[in-house]
Amino acid sequence: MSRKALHGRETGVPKKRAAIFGVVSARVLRPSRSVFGVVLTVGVQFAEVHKRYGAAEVLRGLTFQVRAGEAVALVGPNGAGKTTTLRVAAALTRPSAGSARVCGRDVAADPQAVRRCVGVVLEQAGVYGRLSGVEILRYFGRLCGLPPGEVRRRTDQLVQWLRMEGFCDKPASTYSRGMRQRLHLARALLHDPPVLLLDEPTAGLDEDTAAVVRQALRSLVREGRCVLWATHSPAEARQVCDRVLLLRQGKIWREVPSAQFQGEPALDHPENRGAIFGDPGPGPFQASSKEGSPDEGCVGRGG
Amino acid sequence: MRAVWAVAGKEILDLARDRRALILGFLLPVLAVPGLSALVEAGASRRVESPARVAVVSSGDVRGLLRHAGGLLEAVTVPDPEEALRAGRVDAVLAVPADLEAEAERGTAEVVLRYRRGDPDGLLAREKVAQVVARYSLPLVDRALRSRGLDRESLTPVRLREETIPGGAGWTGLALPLFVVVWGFAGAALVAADLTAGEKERGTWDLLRSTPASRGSLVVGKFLTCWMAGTVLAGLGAASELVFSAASIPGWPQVFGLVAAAASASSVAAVCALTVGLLSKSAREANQWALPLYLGALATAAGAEALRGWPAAPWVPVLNAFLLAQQAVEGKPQPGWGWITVLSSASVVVVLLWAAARLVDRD
Repeated sequence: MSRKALHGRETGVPKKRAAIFGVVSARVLRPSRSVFGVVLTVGVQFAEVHKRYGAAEVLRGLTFQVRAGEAVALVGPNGAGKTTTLRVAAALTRPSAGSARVCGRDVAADPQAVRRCVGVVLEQAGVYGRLSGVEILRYFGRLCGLPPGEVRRRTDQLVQWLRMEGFCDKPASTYSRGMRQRLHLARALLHDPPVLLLDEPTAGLDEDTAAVVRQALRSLVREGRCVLWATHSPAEARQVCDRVLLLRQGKIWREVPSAQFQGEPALDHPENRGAIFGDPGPGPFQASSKEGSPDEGCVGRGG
Repeated sequence: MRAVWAVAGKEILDLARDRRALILGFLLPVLAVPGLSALVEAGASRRVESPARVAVVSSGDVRGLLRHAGGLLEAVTVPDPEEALRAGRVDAVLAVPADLEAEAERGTAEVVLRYRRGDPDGLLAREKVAQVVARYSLPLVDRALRSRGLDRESLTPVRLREETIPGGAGWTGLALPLFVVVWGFAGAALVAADLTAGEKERGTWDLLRSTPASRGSLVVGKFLTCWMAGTVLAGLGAASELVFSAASIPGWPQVFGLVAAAASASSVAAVCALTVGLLSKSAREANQWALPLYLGALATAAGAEALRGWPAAPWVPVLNAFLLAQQAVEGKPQPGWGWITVLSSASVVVVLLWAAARLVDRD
């Protein structure tokens, strides 16, 4: 991608905002394709992963892999298993069956090692409202085992890179949704992880900020990181990711290369949308012809 | 170990910036303890010093008897004394025979006092009526003795002379150990609920779990914060009570005894509440689970006097802390007891922290 594109002329991001995440500044974070002395080729690998919560089976034999330097979108309706997939990959929950490996480490057998190589942005993550952004970053830096000097250095770099200087010293309770998302992204990147697991990181953001976050993530992928991104937005999946995994009821329903996905907007097509998201049936106030309700003939026949 | 201090440091900083927690944590023990003590003492002294309201029932002249009631009894006239007693309008009903003086001269007089068994005012009225009857009887006794050539002195061949020196714990001896246990538990349990279940509610718990820090270090860091909060609260409560009661400055053995008792009680409270918090989904649920723990601690403290002689008492956490605090307040802390208290509490803490660390990754 050209420098011109990165400054917003091709991505639709306003020039001023695009400069915030200019690719040059992205170099502050060293590419990490080597973990535990091994050069990574596969970041995330799921093989027949099942996850049950009581009687409910949320993941049903999920199999896929995400290579280093690749961004893969998990797209699907609510309850399809996107968040659970990310939680399994982040070693936040153990698979009920099957094998999930991240950076070559099994999430069930060696969760500690897995956590060392993933950065996680969760959809409904909160913040410590009485701490400032910088204090939160330093706290997580210490929890990641970074030496104090390194924590300070990386915090300063991320604050600068994500343009958080204006608010990072204020209590996090005063942050807007966009500020919080930037803080979470900085927190996820703090220990320079080779794998990023993102659960709708742009949900609720205004279009400018969302575009900026998308662009920042794209630059991280170019650095060699592996990104697994759960999203509801087909357009976002096309824009940021290399491949799209369409999830339905805990299974991969279809795998589409990004370019092909762009050319064939499967989710935008009414027929495919029905296949992925399920047939919603008649609206709540629409009469069902099968039931023959007393209101039949009064609703929806005006034309 | 760095992660432990990181967690503890962050939690303490967070706590220090929580104005409501600070107000509750510092002002309550500092102000409420003396306030509560003052109210209880004022209530008790009012009852003792004010005259008991007694309905005197007699068809004769009772002025002779009531002449001795100055400051002790207030004779109340009510239309239905029994009903007034049941309704609590009088503390007692005193039935006096019509010819009290004559019967008293003969030595056969009997006055009947009726009061409510469970009413502290009734019990005090009994004491006061007994004093009035004794005052009334005394001249009659003296007269009877004199007629037999005796005097009051001859009835008491051995006299008891009382001399007092400063010391003893008084009300503080009862209240202070209770404050140490109650504040230690309350402080630790409230903070623990916020640091575990509260984090789950705020959506920061999974962020913490996603870090490579060991589960043990997360739990120990949080435990240290809760323990500190409980100990500080218990210490403030104890210090405030000591200052208020104008007790003599405690010596070092007493201070060590009190600190060991506060630290032991709050360590057990902290680890129990932390474990319960990790099992709960919300702070409200954690507080609901903490209530039986809290009541259990209160029950242990309430039953401490009865359990004092139990051979296993030094080994039972919370009970041993209460008794250690009591020993310290009474000025006779036993070092052996103190060590056993600390060791037994530490054992509970280690076992429950191990269990709590395993709960962190619970789905």
